[in-house]
Amino acid sequence: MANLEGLYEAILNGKLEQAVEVTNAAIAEGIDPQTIINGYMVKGMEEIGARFEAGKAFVPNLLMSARAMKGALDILKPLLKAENATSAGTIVIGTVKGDLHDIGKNLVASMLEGCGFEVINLGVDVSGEKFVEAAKEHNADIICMSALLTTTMNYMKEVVSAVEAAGIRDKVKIMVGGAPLNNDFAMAIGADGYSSNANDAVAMARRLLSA
Amino acid sequence: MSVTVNIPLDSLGIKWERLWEETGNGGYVPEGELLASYNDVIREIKKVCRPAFCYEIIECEGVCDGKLTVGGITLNPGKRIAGYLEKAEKIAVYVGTAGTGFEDYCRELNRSGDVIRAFFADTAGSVIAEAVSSHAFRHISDKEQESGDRTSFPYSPGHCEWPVSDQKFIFALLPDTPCGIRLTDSGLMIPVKSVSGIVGIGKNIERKPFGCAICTFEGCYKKHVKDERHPVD
Ligand code: B12
Repeated sequence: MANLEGLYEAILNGKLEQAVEVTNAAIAEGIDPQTIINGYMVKGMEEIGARFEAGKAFVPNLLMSARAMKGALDILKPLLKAENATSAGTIVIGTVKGDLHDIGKNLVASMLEGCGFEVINLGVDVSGEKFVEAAKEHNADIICMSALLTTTMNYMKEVVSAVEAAGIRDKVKIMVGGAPLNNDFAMAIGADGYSSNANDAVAMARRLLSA
Repeated sequence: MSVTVNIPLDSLGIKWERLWEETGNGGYVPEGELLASYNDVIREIKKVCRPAFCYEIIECEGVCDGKLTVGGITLNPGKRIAGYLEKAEKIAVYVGTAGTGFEDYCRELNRSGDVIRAFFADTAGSVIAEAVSSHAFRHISDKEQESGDRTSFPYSPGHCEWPVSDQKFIFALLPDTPCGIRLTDSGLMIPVKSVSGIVGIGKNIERKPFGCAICTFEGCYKKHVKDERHPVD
């Protein structure tokens, strides 16, 4: 019998090989992929997220868990497609034009990917035009923008305007983050959400898409 | 005449085991598989990273109302920093970098999708760039002190009230692509792990607060870091 508790542990402790092994065993036994994901994997991610929030786990631990989660999800995805289920959502992410600080943005991208989102990482110095183009091309559910400079955070407003001008604002949510930002700023520029760290960004993305 | 100095990575005095405290991850201790990856990354960095800085010492033509004129170019550090540099007779303008080899290594890691190693390298790169800045400052100070001058602490565009866009003026005072660093249209440096700054020089210049002590960025994790490389006077 596949040790599904072991899958929870593998995700929690960021053990990729163990996660893949148990997932394969569970599939071979015909266990429903949704049960594997929601009953064990997501729970493992939630627990590491809670430990992170409590200061008992650190960014590298989050990344290890996200990597194990992604490895197991990659095996399950084809089966989910067959069941007509979709990914958690598609996200286009980038550091806005004029800014090169990207450590935080890459962490957010990794966590989202680990938690089942399709993530298109546009890199740094990304213009409004590029965000819009990528959102259209990939049919994105969320555009995520990062800025670490007080000068470049203002460019986020221009991206929001570009999304509106392209006529896709009702199709795509906008999330922003970066050290100089806060929720008030996010609301003032017309974004839908803000979060201060990569763990919370996942919860926020889920909230936005279920709203 | 500009001076370029290549610094062996080892002489930057980086305490690799203390990197986490300096980067907002205080309390973190890599173990097991993560420790092995971390050590691998540091080993690779030691192979590819060629830190360097370039500086030029220029007559200070005047300090007035938050502005500082050097070599015919006016910098806008704001009233506070300009005030600290009022007695400067000369200004050292510098840029420093972890180098293009390091940038290529980071880009490759990010491309490979190995997010953990990429995070380790990125974090290390930030610490290297800051250490190069401190090293450049010490180098300039030591040289000036030898000739009987005193130096201020270093100040950088983007910090305190000084707009980041002034980096273009710093570059205008240095040779083309110093240490291989170039500016983007928006005035940021590539390689990303680069820093820029100035140091005031003069017989009567005093050392006033700098770095975290004059930074208004409340949410910064550095507010909690006590380190000899970020002295807070
Ligand atoms: C490390 C660092 C650097 C590194 C490079 C970083 C990199 N990306 O490679 C180095 C040392 C090279 C550097 C250089 C410079 N820097 Co710098 N840097 C920082 C520092 C200390 C930390 C940034 C960081 O990496 N944090 C770690 C990550 C994990 O955190 P984060 O980015 O905040 O991301 C988290 C959250 O914000 C959130 N998040 C982030 N993005 C998003 C997006 C979404 C959608 C969501 C939901 C959440 C989210 O989740 C992330 C993960 O938890 C900040 C100060 C600070 N505390 O933020 C200054 C800071 C950003 N730098 C600053 C400056 C001025 C510069 C320089 C211009 C200085 C100079 N003249 O040399 C140069 C420019 C370099 C260049 N290439 O031109 C200033 C900017 C001030 C301003 N005017 O706005 C800051 C604020 C420092 C300060 N106190 O003044 N920098």
